[in-house]
Amino acid sequence: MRMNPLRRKVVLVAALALLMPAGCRRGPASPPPAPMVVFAAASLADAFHELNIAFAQARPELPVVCSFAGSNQLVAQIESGAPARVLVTADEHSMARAVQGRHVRAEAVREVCGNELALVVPANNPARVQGLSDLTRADVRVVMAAPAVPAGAAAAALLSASAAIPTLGANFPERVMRNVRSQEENVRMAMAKVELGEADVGIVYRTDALAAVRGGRGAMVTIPDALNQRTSVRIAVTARAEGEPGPTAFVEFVLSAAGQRIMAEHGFVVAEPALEPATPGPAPSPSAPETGKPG
Amino acid sequence: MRRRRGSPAEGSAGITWGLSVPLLALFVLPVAALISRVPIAQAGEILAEEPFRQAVRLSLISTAASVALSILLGAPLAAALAGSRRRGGRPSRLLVIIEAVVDLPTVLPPAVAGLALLLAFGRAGPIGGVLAAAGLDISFSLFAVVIAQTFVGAPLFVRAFRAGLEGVDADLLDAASMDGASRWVRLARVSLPLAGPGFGAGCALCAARALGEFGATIVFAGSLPGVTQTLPLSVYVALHEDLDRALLMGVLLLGLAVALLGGARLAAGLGKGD
Repeated sequence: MRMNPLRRKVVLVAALALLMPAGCRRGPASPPPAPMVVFAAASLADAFHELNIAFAQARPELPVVCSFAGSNQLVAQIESGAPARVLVTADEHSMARAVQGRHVRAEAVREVCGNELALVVPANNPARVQGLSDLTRADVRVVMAAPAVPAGAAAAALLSASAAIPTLGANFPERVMRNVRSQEENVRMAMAKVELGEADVGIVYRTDALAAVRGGRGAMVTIPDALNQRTSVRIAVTARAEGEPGPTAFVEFVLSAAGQRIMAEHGFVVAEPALEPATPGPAPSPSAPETGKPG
Repeated sequence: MRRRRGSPAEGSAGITWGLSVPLLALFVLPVAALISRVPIAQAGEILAEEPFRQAVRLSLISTAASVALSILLGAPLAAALAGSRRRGGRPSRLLVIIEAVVDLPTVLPPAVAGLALLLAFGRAGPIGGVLAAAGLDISFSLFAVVIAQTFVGAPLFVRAFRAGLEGVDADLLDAASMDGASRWVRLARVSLPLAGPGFGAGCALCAARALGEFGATIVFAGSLPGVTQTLPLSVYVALHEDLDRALLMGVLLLGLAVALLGGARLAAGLGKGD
């Protein structure tokens, strides 16, 4: 007697399901190494793309895949169990949070380089922003990163520091905040709004502004040294990856002369060759040239 | 040939239900996990926070405005589409294109939708440029939030309301016109009352979708607490900072969405009685 056609189909599907894993099992040859996951702050994207290429040439047997996002988002993902081998944050506060959550050992943290802020405007500078004081003009639209993100925190600190400057006028920080139209999730989104012409000026990292200038997508307006905020880019092998040769090699490469040269080329502030573990030490000397003038 | 679909044979019903369990579990388990982790103890404290109340207020206002705008702009479209198929025969190519256009926002990834809206309505865009010259600043405003939410929500309203209108028995309309009712009277006295459930369902679906919109909002309208940071944006921000606040806001959003969907089902079910 014929089996009910529906039953026959179910049995067939079940049989296939059971047989599939057997067919998929790998042969005796060892599988290719899984790429090592590196979590890096959004502001490091350009520099780290280049770093990865150089690292791939130096150590082709250690493939790397990078994930870029706001530092706070990266730490949150690691806290939820994301399998990152290396963490690179845009400031020490985010790295400290990872240390506090025991996802990174304090001793493993190293300082990569420094960064500071700048103003970025669209290439033709339609609002003719020349300096900080222009941020309070009535028609100027300002964007910045959210305060939870390192770039946003640094921008907020910059505005606080500016309150003490008499030439900027009373209530400078409040007047600027009134012109802030959006607090973006990461500094690159703020850059995008400026590049698209939606915002007149963005408070971003100097490295981001330089990248825009080089790409012809924007112009940079510098911030006086006395007010500028210095951020410290930190790197560490995550606790779960401690002892693995790949992540350690990657970190060493970033800190090597070759890696530091790449960071400097992108506008980051690098220290002199002999690098100490991340303790609050003297400020590294700037070695990156200033390029880009207001439009 | 025997038609097996919908076969009442009990054996096959058991098997199909059994095979349905994984998907139902996929829907239920994450939601259950979310609810189980709600910090009830801190709920009162978090609910009183100003940023939280701002986000709730912005979400409710923008969603209400989006639904209103969807009804205003979508009802004529739904009526036009409903009438076009009724005439029978093959649908014209233009109609097929229009229907595809109405489906477009639904299949567009939200962030892409936001970018597209920004390019069109932003200051530097064709439409936004004209509006900006006239003094109307759209981007980075609550109005932008409403536009983004309407973009994703209106198609759902149009679809449901159209279905409701098409469900109106053509014979009733014919009888009304034979009794001398004008087109408007037919619309007001026959079509609309009978399509009421479709209308209600459309409003609820549109509202639920608008309430939950994230990608298009954050790209087009930006994110500023008290101005454009709706609940979904707030949840995203809180996710990286304070998990308790994120959980609480998430559950609130979930509750609102469930209430709206329940309303949609209720409205859709109301019409089936007679």
